[in-house]
Amino acid sequence: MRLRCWRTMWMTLAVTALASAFGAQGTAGAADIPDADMARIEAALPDRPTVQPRQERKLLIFSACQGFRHGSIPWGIAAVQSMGEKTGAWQSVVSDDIAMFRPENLAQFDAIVFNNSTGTLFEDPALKISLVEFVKSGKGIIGIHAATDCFYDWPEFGAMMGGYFDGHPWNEEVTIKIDDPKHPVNAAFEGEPLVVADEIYQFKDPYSRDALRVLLSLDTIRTNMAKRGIKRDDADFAVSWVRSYGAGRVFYCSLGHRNEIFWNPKVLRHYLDGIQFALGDLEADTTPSAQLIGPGGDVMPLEKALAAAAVYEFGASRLPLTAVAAHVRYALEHPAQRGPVVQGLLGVLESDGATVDGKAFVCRQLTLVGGDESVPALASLLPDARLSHMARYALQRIPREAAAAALRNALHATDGEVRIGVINSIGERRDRRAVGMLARIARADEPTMVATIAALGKIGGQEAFNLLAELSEDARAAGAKTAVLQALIPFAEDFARQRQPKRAAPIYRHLFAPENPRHIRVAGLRGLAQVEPMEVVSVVGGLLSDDDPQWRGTAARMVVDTPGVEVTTAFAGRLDVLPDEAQILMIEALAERGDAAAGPAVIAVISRAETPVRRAAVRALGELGEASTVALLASLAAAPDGDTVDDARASLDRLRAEGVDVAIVAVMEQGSPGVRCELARSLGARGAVAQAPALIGLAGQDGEATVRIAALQALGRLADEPHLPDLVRLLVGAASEEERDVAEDSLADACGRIDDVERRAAPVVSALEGADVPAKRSLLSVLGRLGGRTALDAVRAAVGDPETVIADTAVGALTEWPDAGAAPVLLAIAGQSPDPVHRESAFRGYIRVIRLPADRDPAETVRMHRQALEIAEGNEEIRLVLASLGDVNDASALALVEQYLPQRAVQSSAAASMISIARSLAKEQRAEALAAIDDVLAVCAGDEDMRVRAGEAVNHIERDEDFVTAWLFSGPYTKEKHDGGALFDVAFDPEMDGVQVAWRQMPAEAFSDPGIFDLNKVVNGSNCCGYVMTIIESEIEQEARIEMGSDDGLKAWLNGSVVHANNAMRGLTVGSDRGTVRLKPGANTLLLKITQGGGDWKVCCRIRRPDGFALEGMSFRSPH
Amino acid sequence: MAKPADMTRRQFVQGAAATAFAAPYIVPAFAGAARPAPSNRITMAQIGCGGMGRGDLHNFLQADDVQVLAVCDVDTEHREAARQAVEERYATNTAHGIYRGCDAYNDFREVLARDDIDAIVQSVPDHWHALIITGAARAGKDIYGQKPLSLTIRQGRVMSDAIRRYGRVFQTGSQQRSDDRFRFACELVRNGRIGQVHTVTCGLPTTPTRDNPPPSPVPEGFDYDMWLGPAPSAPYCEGRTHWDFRWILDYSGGQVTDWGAHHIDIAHWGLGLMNTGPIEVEGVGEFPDDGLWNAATNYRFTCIYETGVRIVVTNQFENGVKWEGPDGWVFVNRGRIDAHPRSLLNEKFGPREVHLQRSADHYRNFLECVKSRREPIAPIEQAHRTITVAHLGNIAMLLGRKVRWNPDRELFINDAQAQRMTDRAMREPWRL
Repeated sequence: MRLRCWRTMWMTLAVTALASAFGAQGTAGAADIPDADMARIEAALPDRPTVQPRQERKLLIFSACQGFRHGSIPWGIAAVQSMGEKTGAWQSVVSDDIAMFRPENLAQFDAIVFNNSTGTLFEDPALKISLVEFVKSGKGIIGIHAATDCFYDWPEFGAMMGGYFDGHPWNEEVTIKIDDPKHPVNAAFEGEPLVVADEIYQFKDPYSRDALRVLLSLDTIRTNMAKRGIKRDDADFAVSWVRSYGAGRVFYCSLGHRNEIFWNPKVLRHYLDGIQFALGDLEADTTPSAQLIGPGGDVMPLEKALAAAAVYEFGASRLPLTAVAAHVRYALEHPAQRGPVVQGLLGVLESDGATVDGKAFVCRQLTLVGGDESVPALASLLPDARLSHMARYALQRIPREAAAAALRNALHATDGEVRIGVINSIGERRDRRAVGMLARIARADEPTMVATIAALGKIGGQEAFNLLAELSEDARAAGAKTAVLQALIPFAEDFARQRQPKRAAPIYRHLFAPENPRHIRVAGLRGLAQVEPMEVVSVVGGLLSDDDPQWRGTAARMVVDTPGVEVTTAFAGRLDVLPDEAQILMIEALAERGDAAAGPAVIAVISRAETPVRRAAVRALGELGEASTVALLASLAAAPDGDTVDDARASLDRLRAEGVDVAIVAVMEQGSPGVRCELARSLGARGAVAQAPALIGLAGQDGEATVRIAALQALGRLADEPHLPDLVRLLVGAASEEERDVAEDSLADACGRIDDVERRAAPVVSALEGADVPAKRSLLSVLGRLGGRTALDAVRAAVGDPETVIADTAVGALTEWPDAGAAPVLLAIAGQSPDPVHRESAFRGYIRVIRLPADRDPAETVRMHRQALEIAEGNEEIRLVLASLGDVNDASALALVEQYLPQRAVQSSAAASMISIARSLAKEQRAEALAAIDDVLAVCAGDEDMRVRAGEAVNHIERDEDFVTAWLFSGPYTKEKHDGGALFDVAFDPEMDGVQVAWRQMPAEAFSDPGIFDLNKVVNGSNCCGYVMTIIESEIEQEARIEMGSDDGLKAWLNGSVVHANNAMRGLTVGSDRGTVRLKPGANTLLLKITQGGGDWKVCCRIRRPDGFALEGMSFRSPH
Repeated sequence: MAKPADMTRRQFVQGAAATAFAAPYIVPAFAGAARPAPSNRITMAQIGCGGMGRGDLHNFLQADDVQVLAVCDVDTEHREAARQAVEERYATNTAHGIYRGCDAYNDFREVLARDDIDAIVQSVPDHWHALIITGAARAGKDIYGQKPLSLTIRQGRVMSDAIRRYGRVFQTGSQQRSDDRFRFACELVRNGRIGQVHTVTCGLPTTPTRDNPPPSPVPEGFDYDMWLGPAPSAPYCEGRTHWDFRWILDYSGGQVTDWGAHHIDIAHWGLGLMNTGPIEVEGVGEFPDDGLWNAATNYRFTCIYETGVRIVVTNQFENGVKWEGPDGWVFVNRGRIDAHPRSLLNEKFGPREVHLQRSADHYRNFLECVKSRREPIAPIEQAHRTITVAHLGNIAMLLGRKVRWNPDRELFINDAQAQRMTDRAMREPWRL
């Protein structure tokens, strides 16, 4: 029972009175929530109203559901009801009675809360009219979470509430951004994003920012956007909003799925403000978000931002600049705003008081938003060396003729480098109208001429071409001949694009002229190859044996990419006139070209050439060969002592042409045994499943054992489920042990490819009946490799076979079983078999299979080990079980092993196992783990090896302990021209004796577990270093191990002496750097230096005994 | 004998060796052999000797078939340190332990003008890439160029065209392509092991922020005006140059381009979409309101391709690339590879499946291609397509709305504003 001191008596009376008046209906009330939660809600509620109510306010809290009912409804009621009471902002009536919506009943309320209500709550048109009229008349409506999941058949409700629910992709921690930080209903958030875990809704029409003032929405950068069910592609996931409806007010917030939302102080304050807005007390703007003028959010108003931007100087805050940029961006999307923004920007350009930096910034903005009206002001800056570039920055990008004209006109108004810039911009704009004016200035000086030539290359067209031709003589004289050649290339490319090869080709021939530099000639030849491919064939062929290796390689590339089928044959036709090395180049290039038309010529090479060329040709057939090439490749692959065996095999396996697999079968049927072997192998490598019947035929009927074996091996690679009976039949009828072994492997491989464990064993099991002894043994081995229940039953049955070799094989198969299913069978054999060999191998097999990954409780695994211990024969078997238990992460394993600790013969196994269990157990049960290690040490005190292991385990368990967190910090220290690594050996004040150092305390938020100190949280820096210092108090003189990690380099001093130095560039690894030091009694000073290149900057350090245990009598403090 | 004036060192050496077919197409490794004769070494120059340049130079200095003839940097200290590194490295090859054969330049144009240099390594800030790469291509050099390839979409197009025109060999420094783990992940995806991929997520780091440092004197020995080059004029200050340039949009694109160059590239490689681009890009980015560094700190943008696949690029995801399809997923980064089902990690590929080019060493791959004239494993056109995605993301986020893109014509569709953002005017006298 929760009666709060601020809960007024009349409230309870009011509810009772209403309930009796309308007949109470299953109203879930605040009484249903636990006291602890009520206390949380109370603690989180605001103490007072945001605004004092203008009059007494009355709120209806309505939570009826005609669909899904949220568990959080009572928490919502409690929060809203208590909020009104505690703050005095309203009084609540809680009811789920639809009679409340009759006009005469609604009249007493100022607003209604739809608290997670769902479905079609009422059908009566009179009630619908009543609700809408209530709101339109100037009252309020509030929606919590599922309030948009209502009345899908009543569009006006959807419009009034602001949208319909369309799935909830998220139910997890998300970040919510404050769309409108200054909106009064958002005061709770103080502009900071809200990180909260709740179910987050997605909305569909009529949701629209054209109608709603969106207050909160999902921060899609910080939220998992890989969730299923995301439908909106505009990334607009509103979380809360307000709107006007008639004279009334709507507030909706989709938070409220989880109970704990209702004790989140910020969300509660948001609800308070939203409800006070809906009640008519809190004034708030409801202009729809889409109609807001300006970028919204927290952005400085345009005029103020422009005034500050006008006097901006480098080094000052950029806030006004980014504000202006935000206004510009807004104007790009809202053409109505463009005028004022552009005028404001131009005002700065024309202002006498504006700084150069401010004007430069404005020019950058005009690159995006500027149009015709901006051109005069920008043009006036072109002659100004300080701002000319920035003026071009805008003018070059403004796609208006006025901007082009301004640049052209500036050719006369500028000179020197500034004019070069103007010429460059004209080139980038490809302004053909500028050619005439460029002609007049081109010869001014050499830089101008070179710039003009480059611009002409970009501009293109006949006029530019003519001018380029005119200039070429002067250019040659001025040493700019290459510039002209380079500028010619785009003209040729343009002609080529326009399918005018007759105009492009002469230019390319001109570029290819022998007197030109090699790369210009390359450009010419490559270009020519595109427009007159046949023309280059003989040149390229010749270049394949050029003295210059670069020409040889370039020619090979051209064989690959010169277009045209007839070119392929032409290149291939030159093969026989080339020297050997060039033939290899040509063949490899033809292979890369991949046009089968080259095949015949390449095949012709094989019969006449020397080995290296032959090999290249055979390799090339992998790319160029067709079905008809199979016979040739097969004979080469099968040739005894052939020089191209491996190449031919690889090519056979690679052939991609149509009908190759069928051709392989056809050749195989008529070929020699060697050919049959090769082709069977290749079918396997090619994965030619469709040809499996041919292989089955070969494996069963071929007269040659080698062929049968090759066919069986190939079947192992490709046989599918339908082929299994045949494969089983081949195994059973195998002509020799060797063939049977191959068949066994192939059958196991083929069965293993079937996903269903039981189905894969079925054909094998069914063949057991009636198979002879050798076949049966093979089949059992196969089953042993497959696993599963069907196989297990069959193998278990075979254990009792009167034939000893069968029984042995069955036990052998069980011991190698691939899953834990064989455990009971193995246990039974190990415990009961009359055969000691079977008992022993079954025991080992049992331990093996219970260690296999399985979906079972660790306690069950321990029980299985206990069963083994019960039947273990001899200490060796006990040790085997104890060792296996060491990997079981469970307290019951520890208890079981501990029973064996006193037994001398198995003591060290038990001890090792306990240490191992303790290590893994410590995460959950630390005390038990450490106690177990103590137990081990008590028994094994004299065993040095065990002490070391125990120490390592303790060190591991306590790996997060004894970290220094009492650091003082000094830094950052930098030195001109020194990066982080270089600073490692530069001594700054903390390294100097007797120098006063400014130390500061480390804030707690700079630490994270386990004792990692993030220096970036204190100061920011790159290419710097910093120092941390602490005092270690030690009661006695003792050895200690110091374990450190750092990002980046680390140097350590203890009591003034360097004890560690590692100039590393790295991320932090805890404990990566270790060393042993001697602590003196009393205070010891530990100083660390941490260098910083960039990115993370961290350090951690702890001190332990050299054997890994905690140091006795040691503490840290930061000195003052 | 007087050398004819127009005969270059190369022609001279070639003339001497003209009687024999000196180098086969695939040049074998120089296993066990002595260092190749000078005529068989690739002569190189390192342009940009700061953070990445030091690493690149170090790697090329290890190659026996390379002779670094020059280093170039606008920071005297970086330049001299690089020269010293070269001379110390080569001194170990000389009998007397001294080597003086590395020239140091402030202006890269002097390097490009030398006709005895075959290839350059470009490790300068992004705003310089286009000028140095096109300049080198027009001078007939091969190029190992650091990522991200470009500062703007248009610059990338110009660079790729120049490399193609002049038949140059270009390797992009996106070395994840020479990493077995990344290649295997891509082969799994390319060979359909997870079915038709619907979503790829690229997780990149968060871009840092900093305050507004006041202008300060340019450090001695630092040619700051040359460092700025084509970028807008701005006074020198702490945090603007060297490593930090990448957080400033005048010089780079923040982590979106810095790491996007790696992971978007891998995403494309796995999808087999290396030579196209998205048709729609939309996203949200947080650009700092204040401070010197202005690249997007937090960001998420989604690119939709004509095939229907979506690539999501965000800093709110583990660093790496994850492909998701109906039959599973594959994740890879520099530390690990993972897949669902896990058994995919044991997959083998048949002879007729997709086998991506293998490269065990990104630098070596470049050197071999310089000799063979083949296209290296990270070709410039694909690097251009990769970084275009990052630029599109930045543009969509800066505009705050969806943009539509024609990847064939490389133009925005009905979007003059976005189109304006595909290039920037260079400060005079620089031009592409």
